[in-house]
Amino acid sequence: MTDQWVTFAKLGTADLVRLAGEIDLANAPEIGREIARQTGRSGAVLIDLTAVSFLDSAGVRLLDALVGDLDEAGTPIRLVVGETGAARMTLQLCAFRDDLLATDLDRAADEVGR
Amino acid sequence: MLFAHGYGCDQNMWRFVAPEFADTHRIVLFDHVGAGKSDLRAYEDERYSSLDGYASDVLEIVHDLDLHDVVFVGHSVSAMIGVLAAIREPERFAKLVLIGPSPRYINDGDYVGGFGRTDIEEMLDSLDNNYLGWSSAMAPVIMGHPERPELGAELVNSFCATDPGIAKKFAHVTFLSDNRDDLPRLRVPALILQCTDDVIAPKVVGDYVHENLEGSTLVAMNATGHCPNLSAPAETVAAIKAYL
Amino acid sequence: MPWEEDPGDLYEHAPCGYLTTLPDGTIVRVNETFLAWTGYARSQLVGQRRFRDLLSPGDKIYHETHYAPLLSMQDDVHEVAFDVVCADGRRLPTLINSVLGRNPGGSPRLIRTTVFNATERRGYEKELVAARRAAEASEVRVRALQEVVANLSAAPTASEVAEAVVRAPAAAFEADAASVWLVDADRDQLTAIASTDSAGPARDDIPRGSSRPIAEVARRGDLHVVHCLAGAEEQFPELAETMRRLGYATAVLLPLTNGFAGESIGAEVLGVLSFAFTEQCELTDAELSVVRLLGHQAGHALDRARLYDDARRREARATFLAGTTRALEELPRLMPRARRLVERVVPEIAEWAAVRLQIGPAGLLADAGSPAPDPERLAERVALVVANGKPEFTDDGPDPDCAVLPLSVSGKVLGTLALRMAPGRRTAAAEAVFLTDLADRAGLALENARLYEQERAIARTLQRSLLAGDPPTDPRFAVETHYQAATHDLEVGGDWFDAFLITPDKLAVVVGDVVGRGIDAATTMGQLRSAIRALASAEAGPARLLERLDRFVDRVESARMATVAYAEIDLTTSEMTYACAGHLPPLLTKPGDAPTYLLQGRSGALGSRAGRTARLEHRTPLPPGSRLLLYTDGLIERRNRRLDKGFELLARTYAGRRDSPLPGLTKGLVQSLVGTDHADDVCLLCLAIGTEERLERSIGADAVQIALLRKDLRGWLVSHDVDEESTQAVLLACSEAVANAIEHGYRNDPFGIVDVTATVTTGAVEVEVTDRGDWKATGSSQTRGRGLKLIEQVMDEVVFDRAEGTTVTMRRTRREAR
Repeated sequence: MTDQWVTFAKLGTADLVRLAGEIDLANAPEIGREIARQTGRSGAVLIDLTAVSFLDSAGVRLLDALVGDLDEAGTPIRLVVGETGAARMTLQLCAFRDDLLATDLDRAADEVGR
Repeated sequence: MLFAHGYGCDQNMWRFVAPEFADTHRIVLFDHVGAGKSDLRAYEDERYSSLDGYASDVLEIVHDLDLHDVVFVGHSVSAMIGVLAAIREPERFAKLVLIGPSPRYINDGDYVGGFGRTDIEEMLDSLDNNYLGWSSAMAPVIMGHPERPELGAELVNSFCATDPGIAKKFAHVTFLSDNRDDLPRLRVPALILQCTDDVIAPKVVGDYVHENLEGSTLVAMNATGHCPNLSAPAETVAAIKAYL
Repeated sequence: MPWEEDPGDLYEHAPCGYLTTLPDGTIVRVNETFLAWTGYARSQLVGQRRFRDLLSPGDKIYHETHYAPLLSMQDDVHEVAFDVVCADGRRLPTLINSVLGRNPGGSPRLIRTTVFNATERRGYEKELVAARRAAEASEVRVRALQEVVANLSAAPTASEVAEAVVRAPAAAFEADAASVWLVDADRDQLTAIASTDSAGPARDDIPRGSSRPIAEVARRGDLHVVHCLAGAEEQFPELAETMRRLGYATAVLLPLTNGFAGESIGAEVLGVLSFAFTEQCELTDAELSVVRLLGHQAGHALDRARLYDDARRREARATFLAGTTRALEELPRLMPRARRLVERVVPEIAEWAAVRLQIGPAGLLADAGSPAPDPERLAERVALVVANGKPEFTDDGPDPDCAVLPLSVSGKVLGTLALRMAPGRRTAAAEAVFLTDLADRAGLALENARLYEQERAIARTLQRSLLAGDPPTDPRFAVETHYQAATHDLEVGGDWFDAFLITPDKLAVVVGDVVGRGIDAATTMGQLRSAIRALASAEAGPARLLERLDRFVDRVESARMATVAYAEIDLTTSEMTYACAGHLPPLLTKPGDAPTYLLQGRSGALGSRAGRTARLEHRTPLPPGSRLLLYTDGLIERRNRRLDKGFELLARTYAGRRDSPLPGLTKGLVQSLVGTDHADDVCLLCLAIGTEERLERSIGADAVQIALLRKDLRGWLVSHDVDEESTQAVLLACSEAVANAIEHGYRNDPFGIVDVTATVTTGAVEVEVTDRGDWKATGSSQTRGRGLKLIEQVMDEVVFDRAEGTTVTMRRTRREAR
């Protein structure tokens, strides 16, 4: 059901979560559950938001909860966003920590894979 | 005062006791179905297959005569019949007098009732022997017409007339009954008269009843045997009067 | 005198025993005769024992309940029978007479008792008692058997017959235990079906060829009475062991046969009744003949029950097969049909079932129930069945009661139906005919479904490829389309839509419908669609285009009687020219007007010989904000409804949604007018023209609607040349405000409506979001807090008005004005 918005892959040792399209109140909870299910035992997680064309506060809520859970488990996580775009705008507005955000996927993979 | 006779006899057994209370109480005597002058046609296997049926009879008497504040005096098995009746309609009963009560005649685990199961079976044989023994003229009756109880009633030349067939069934119900669980449900005060050397309801049974009947009074009598109302009427009357 | 007697000697040696006791029974005097009879020494009794102490326990009770009260009341008791327990424990039957002596005052003084030796008389009496009991027992037996026979005749099933039979031995012969075993011909075994044992019947089935006594008796068909253990050792050592273990001394094994009394040839053994006694007992000839009678009665009842069972089973099977065929036909598609098949089979027939179809690289599987058999063995058997096309039954072994049946049509194996029979049913092999019938019907139904899927897939692929291609995007207009295929039809229809730019300023929109269904219709539709694109030109106009189409149809016969609604819109003049060739009239909404059907420009269907062939067209202004709806007949035509009612309903529904965002509008119309269960294809195209100065939308309180609204709003903002950054900001703020309204205002009202109004000026964009929900007691202010903060961050002015419901007014200055 969530395939059109979220897909999963491996990048190095990290689990790569690719988000795409519009993430809002209607699909965020379901996407969140799917990500939690797939990354429950990951060593490191990369969330690629470069293909996200819209992100609302429900999407932010989902990312916030995800980061919280992974931080608690000591699992490194990076949110990869484009230089511009909807996801970057929303996340910046919500003042996400700088150390969480990355613009380059490969570099982020190196960082979390250390 | 409502007097209920025990197994093996009829209301005649109260002849030395009941008159002593006539001045102070209305005296009601009756025969259980199958005993004395009761209507034998009223006997139904189903109804009298447990003591509850007999308890219902007691309550019917109480209702038909519109009795209140009843002092119920029950001998032997009728003591338990009175307990069952008073559990069902406690508001009608003021006090119970239980003479030689036993909630369970057969030993059961830690419980001592006084008899083994084979003893009871032997007793039922004993009944057979005695109905025969009273008259050999019974033989044709036994062989062909066991359903003619009127013969039995005539043949029993005694005050305590009982129908042999019913007596046997009553013996079954009486001696195989187990009313131990009913005792704690009684809310009416009760006097327990315990005889010395009573083989039917030994002292341990009397103590058991006393322990399990809240607010009961136990009086140990000098009278011996199971029928102090006959063997020691004066002591029996005195004990009841003292209690009332 | 020689007959003078010494009274002392007479007392001591009288021909009866004398006892004198105190009123409480204590023995104070006893004569020699009594002592000689009982073996007691005088010193053991006098002053030591009470009379009742010498009685057996049963007689003690009688003494207390009868003898003592009688004596007290009558002063004498006659001929009471007591067993006196002698010194050596022996019992002496006696008859007792007692007299109670009283003191002058009337109080009891002592009891005098004579004891007569009644050994012989009591022996006679005991015989009488025994005879009476025998007579009673005989009467009981006859009554018990009458009752059993009555129950047998009322028992419709074998198990009820067995329940009646198993109670007979106890009732008629006072047997201590009984069991009934039924011959199960399918499984070639004997199964315990009823028992007086509280644990129920034994669970070990006995093969008919076994050496065990039950099987032996079933084979021999004779009554076997084993009177004692020694006899059992001799006849059936195994039975002896069982009897010893369970404490039985005598056992009876009775075959239940359907023959007549006295004839055993040709009689079939249908079961065995075994019963046993803990006390060793001899059964008299009379009793044995009653036992045999019972065996015949029970056998006949079992025979009747068996016939009844057969008839009922046949009827149930026929009903099941007919019901299954009907149930499968209801679902045209393959997987739902396969699933329904296993759901029909489990649990009524089987406790587990699986349909495997050899379709696609991995095959298809539908299963239900449990436990599944061992997968490897199953796979082997499935492969065998697929290869041979013959069913496989396994009645015993590691996966008992399983069957794998081929699902085949005219020799071709489509797949398999594997199942494990439900417990309590007959074996799979015994039901072979029925199961094969079931598999044949299922095979045909599944093959039909497969063909349906195949055809449908081809046609759908074709149709999708023909309808593919996004409509042109242009800030001056927007197109929304929806196609919904019929639910039940095997084939696709020939409906189509199209929108294309003839010139940069001239837009064409089309909806058409080719007669017929299936691949032919889909192909023709494709040809017509291409033809229209090819024939449309800047100069021709709709009427000329239709004329040319008529000529095309002359060559393509399958396109004859196709209908088309065609419109050209001049985007510079905001004028539309339209024509309908036999097609339903377009529906137009102009800003501020009610929807109107466009009834001009009508002529006959393409290639029609009866219709007007002169092609007409009509010109009408199409001011910005207008919406034009083209559609096919599936949207409004119903078999049980007049067409004008359909038009009325469409106009009303369309009017109700005039403020809905364009995205999702056509789908929404189909959902409310047609639903998901529909008999015909439906094809819609909605064209929104021009740029609205003011965007007004109403959406339902459903989070899914927000994305549609965003799409609409984005298009509107783009058409007003709003810069990308502001567009992003407005989209985010508007989404958050609507989400707030849905999550809080309408948290208890899924049918609430959120109104969104947007206006744009050269300097700013203003959006107003209004709900009429109840915002009281919002428990989750924190979750929406972030949304509100976002709104405030991206918009320059935010005003909340909570007078009636909630209105959020948000304003953002455009980049150019910053």
